[in-house]
Amino acid sequence: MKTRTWILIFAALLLVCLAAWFFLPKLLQTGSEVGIYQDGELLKTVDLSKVTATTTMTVSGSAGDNVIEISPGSICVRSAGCPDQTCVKHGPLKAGGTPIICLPNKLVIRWMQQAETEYDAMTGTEAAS
Amino acid sequence: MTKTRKLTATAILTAGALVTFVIESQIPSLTSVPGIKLGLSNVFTLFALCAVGTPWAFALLLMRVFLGGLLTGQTMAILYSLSGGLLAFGAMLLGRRLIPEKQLWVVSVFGAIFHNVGQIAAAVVITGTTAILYYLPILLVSAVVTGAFTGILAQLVLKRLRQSRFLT
Amino acid sequence: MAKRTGITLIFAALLLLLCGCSGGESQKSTDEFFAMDTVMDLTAYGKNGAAGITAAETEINRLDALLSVGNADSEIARLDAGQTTTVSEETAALLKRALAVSKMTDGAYDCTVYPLVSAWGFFSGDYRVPEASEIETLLQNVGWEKVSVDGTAVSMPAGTQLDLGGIGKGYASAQAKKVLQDAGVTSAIVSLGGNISALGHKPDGSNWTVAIQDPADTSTYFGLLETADKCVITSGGYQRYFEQDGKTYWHILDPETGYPADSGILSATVVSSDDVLSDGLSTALFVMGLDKAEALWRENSDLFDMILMTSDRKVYITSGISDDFTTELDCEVVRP
Repeated sequence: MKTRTWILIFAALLLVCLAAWFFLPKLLQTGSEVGIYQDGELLKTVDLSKVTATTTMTVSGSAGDNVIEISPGSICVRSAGCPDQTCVKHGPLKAGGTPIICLPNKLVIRWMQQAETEYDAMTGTEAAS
Repeated sequence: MTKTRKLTATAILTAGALVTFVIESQIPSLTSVPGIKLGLSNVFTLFALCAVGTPWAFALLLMRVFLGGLLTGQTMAILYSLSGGLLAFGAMLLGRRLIPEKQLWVVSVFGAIFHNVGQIAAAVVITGTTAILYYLPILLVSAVVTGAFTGILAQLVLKRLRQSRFLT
Repeated sequence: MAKRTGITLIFAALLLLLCGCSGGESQKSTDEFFAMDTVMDLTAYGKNGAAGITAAETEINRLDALLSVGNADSEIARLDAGQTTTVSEETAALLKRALAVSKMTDGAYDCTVYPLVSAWGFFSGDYRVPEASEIETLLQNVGWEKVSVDGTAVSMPAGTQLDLGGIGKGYASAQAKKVLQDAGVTSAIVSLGGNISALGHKPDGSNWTVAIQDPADTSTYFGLLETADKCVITSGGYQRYFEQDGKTYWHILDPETGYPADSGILSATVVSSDDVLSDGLSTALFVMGLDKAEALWRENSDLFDMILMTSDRKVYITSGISDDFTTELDCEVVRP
């Protein structure tokens, strides 16, 4: 194959990946429900729009404890026992953004898609804004 | 090349791969997953494949993965390096058969692509969720770019070496 | 040749990406906006979804302007300010329904509690505990029987004030569903400030799963209900309250005493195909307490079903929906 063909193929691949990188997160995120997973298992579902007070949740793993802070409309890892601190440095989970991952503890915090939240809607009021 | 020469060449290339590996470990990870690297040291494996031979290149890969993991103190990362390195090796082996050396950069890009695919696959298995796949698009972009750059470098060096009869 | 191949490839890649965006009948359109002092969340499926949702949002905003006491130009506000004694046919019909629900619940839901709730500061946010004498005085003007509607003419004594907020969202969800249906939507679910109402089934034909908010932790639920084509509305003191001197005061008042209803219910959920009824009833059941609620249901078991949580965190559910409900808590089925 001509070199030019290869260049075009890789350029196409680059385009698709860049497009996916920008659009996929927004397409997939369908609500305000966040899932906290450890080792692939769902530990807790939190509807960030219905959180009224700031609470913390500690998840323990082989690399120490991750302290997760859940506040109205936001979730982040406050502190962690792992050497990298990438999960803490990630900051709060953003709309259309990347998941918070602590690999040593196999902890993943991300938006849930409708298909996997256990419910389609929840009754009750949202937190007063 | 005589066996001694091959041995020496592999040693030098391994040193180069390790230095590159350690330096790129200092670059903050593109993803929030520690241990996933750009894969720049892959080009040494490719060069070894072309200049020295398949078994030597494989030895280089293994040494880079394990010694590199020990040197950077990230034993967790060894799994990703291994997974990525092996997949890349297979891809480049195949690529060398199908693609002529004057388009070596293409083989390098494929090597880089599969290197990242391997790392992501290992991460998915280790974390148990598919959330890591979110990073695949951006990693593939970096793979194409870094693979192309390092590949062109390798291609040019190889061409000169062959022309000057230093290598056959 | 290579150029053509490459360009075709790029086009194919872009096309693939675009295709991933739509999806026919399972195509989902959503909208979130602020109205009636709360967040409205609309979700509709199918190719008419987007048009349906736009129409629904317009309708909800129209009703907000028509009925909201907080809006000085609304018919209700003007009625309360004494600026007029007639309303539109739509408002008159809704008012008659409010009075009917008030009568049905023997005043547990009362559309004239507005001055009382206002005195407690639940509208302004300036929470306060009114003096007993103030409450006595305000109670004189409370009473749905004081209001009469004749055609489009409304008469009530001076001092009595109406607020249809207790059934306003129910009417809005019923209207929203009607508008969606007119637009050709067959599958949708809306959340109007937490009042859930479903149109039809999910696109794949299965039931919707509605989570019932947990009074102890509003970010999660205490039970899951499967439903289709019905509304699920929950009322509870935990939704809006303030604390003073160690005591908790919530926004659902007992129209007879003028104080926050204290009947032993933490959360009352009503399930029905009549959204207006559900909205009013959920408030009423919270005020009535378990025994009166059970009695009311037994007389009207074909009109609604309910899920009640008492202060000991025990759940009571009526037999009409008990098969569709799952919970980890202690649950008792109420039978006719």
